[in-house]
Amino acid sequence: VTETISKASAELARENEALRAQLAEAQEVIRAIQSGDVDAVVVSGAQGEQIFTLKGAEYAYRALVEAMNEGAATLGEDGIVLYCNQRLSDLLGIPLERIIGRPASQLVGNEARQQFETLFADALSGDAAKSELELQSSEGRSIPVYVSLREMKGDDPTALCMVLTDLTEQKKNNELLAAEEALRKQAELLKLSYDAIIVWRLGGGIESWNIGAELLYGFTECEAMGRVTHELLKTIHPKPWSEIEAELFEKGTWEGELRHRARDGREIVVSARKQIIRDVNGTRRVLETNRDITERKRIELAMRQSEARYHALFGTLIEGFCIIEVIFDPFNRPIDYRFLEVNPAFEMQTGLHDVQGKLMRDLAQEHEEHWFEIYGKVALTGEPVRFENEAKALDRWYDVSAYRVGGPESRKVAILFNDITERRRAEQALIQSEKLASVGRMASTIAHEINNPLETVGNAVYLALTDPGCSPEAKSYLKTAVEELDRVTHITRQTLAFHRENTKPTLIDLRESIDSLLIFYAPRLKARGIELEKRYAEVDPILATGGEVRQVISNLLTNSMDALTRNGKIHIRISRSIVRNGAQGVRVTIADTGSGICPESLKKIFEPFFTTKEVIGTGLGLWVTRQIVEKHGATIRVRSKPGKGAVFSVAFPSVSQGNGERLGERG
Amino acid sequence: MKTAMKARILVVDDEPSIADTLAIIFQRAGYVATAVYSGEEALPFIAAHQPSLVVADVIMPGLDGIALARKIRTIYPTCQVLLFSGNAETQDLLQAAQQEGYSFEVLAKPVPPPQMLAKVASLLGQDPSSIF
Repeated sequence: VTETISKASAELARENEALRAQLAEAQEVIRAIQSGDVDAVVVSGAQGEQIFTLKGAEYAYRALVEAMNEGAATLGEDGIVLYCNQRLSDLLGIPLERIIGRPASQLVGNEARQQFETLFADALSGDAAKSELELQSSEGRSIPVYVSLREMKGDDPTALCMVLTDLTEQKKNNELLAAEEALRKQAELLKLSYDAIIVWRLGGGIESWNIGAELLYGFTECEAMGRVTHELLKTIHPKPWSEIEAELFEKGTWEGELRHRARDGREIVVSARKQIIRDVNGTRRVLETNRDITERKRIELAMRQSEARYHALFGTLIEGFCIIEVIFDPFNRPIDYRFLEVNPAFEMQTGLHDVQGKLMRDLAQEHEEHWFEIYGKVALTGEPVRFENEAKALDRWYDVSAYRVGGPESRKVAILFNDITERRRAEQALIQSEKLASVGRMASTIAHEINNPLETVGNAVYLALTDPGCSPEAKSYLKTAVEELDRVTHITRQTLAFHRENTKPTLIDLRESIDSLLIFYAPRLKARGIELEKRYAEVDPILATGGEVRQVISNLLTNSMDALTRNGKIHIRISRSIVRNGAQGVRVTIADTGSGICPESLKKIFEPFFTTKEVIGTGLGLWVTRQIVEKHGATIRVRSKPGKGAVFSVAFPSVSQGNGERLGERG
Repeated sequence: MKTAMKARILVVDDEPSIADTLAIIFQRAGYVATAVYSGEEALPFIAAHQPSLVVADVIMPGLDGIALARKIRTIYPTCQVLLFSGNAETQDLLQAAQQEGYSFEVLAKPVPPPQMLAKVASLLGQDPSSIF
């Protein structure tokens, strides 16, 4: 037995010795590799001995591998770690000796093993394989790493180089950055909000106080910072704070109504939302978002106190709503009404402010009689009505429904109404333009029918006038006929010239057009003692039909001349201007010191057959002018007061010089 | 004006009163002028008498003034054409002709006779046949 024991212990001792030697050898190899003293390592493995050469020239690289912050390892074809650097060992918390010689896949966490095998296979087949995965440390902690596996070229047998980058810090940083970014964004949004947004530290004071809070409570940021919210705002909670706090901790949020006191002592009811936020250091703060519902509360209260079914309409309606009390004279004739209640939309719909309790006749003296009659009838008979009508005093049209509230004795009428002014105006404009178009069509048909007979008459009169046998007396009559013919021609031409002329527009310099006209008008201006003042700026040409432009200027000029008595003045100005869509344009302004235009006429001057020149007017000049102006994409404006002269201005879109050359001057 | 050089003018208008009076006005001014009342009548006359100028109304039943003018341009290129019209529809016809490469001058009715004579004189003064 003793022999057996001593034999066994001797064997163990030998084995121990062998292992020690092996360890020393391994340690020596590692030291040698680390210091760069060896050029080759021989590793015994399943496939026999493998020799890994480390050329002296690679010393620098080895030093680098040891010094670098990434974990690095060399793997054999079978996935066994042949070499690894200190960094990887540190990362895993496993001594170098226990890494080298082990399959690399054992370093990887269980879940990532499959992924690693795939990567390894990819790398072996020659592809560079890269991926994020998790390593398993000695204590079983998982370490996020970025792995890059690559075949080492020129090595035989095949070996792979593995580089691992520890992502733990990076991941943490990314998360922190994202959290900070989210907080920052949130904070910016909060600053802009109309809601009061307050951030305070649990067990501490206010750390953030936005504009909304300033507006709502009247405390400035300086005054609020560091104060305890409940104390500053004298908060009245709906239940004990301890309960709210408990809920807040449990769910992370709490919502409810709070009562606060503003700086000036007003009581404010807010709909509050509290949220726990944690920062990077784990400090807990409360983010409180408070919306003012004082007004809503007041309305709710008012609604509860009065006739609920009518008041339900309040506030939510876009339509105007009011309840009036109709006031009758002793003969039961409606003479006025008083506003009992109005909804928020009322003001916008009527333009009347603070009407509650006031009489309609005091608010709008000119309010039409029919309104009083209609509401009076509703109050007396109880029959609901619906109608559209105009309120001139308010300069609006309304679509109205009215019905009686309560019994016959109440004399209260509820009115629901809508401002339909825009719709009415659009309708009227449509009717007007349709009327104008049909009048225009008729006028041009008539004028055409007149032209042929005029031609004959003109020819016949000319023949008579040039007849050698024509007596001087007959000649004078015929000359009158020619003049009258010219007048008729002028009228038809004024209506039609723009239909008839060559419609192809050309580039026109307005200064030249106007000057050529002025030569023509000069004698007449002189004869009437009218002073003319010109001011031309450097302007671009316009693309227009020459004759039409001349007609526009001529019509405006003749009107000005007709409006002037002796010694009047006409100003003609040409200037640069901006037209529709912000494009460049040229503006022609013709102003006179004449009799001016009264406001009633001013509305109608562009309508056909409207004239103030009873004998000589055709009522077509400005109508035609506007048609031409619109055809050219131009705009015409007029400003005038009786006795103060009139200013007409036409703005044409202009053609910049560069474009002008391309368009050419032909046509 | 030399008698031997008298220019011949043809007036075409479906309204005889216009065609006739205008022809007389031209005659008094020293031209040889004839009036016809349709585009269809005008063509054989032009073939027979080779006028220097045709003054034609635009809107006429049958062959209208612009169609007539286009025929004249093609068949008798030396013959001048002056159109006159009292109708806005003229514009459409002119535009259609223009798209096919024709352009004609159109006077608006009523044309005062002195203006008509001045126009005719200037046209005949620039007779292409005398230039080429």
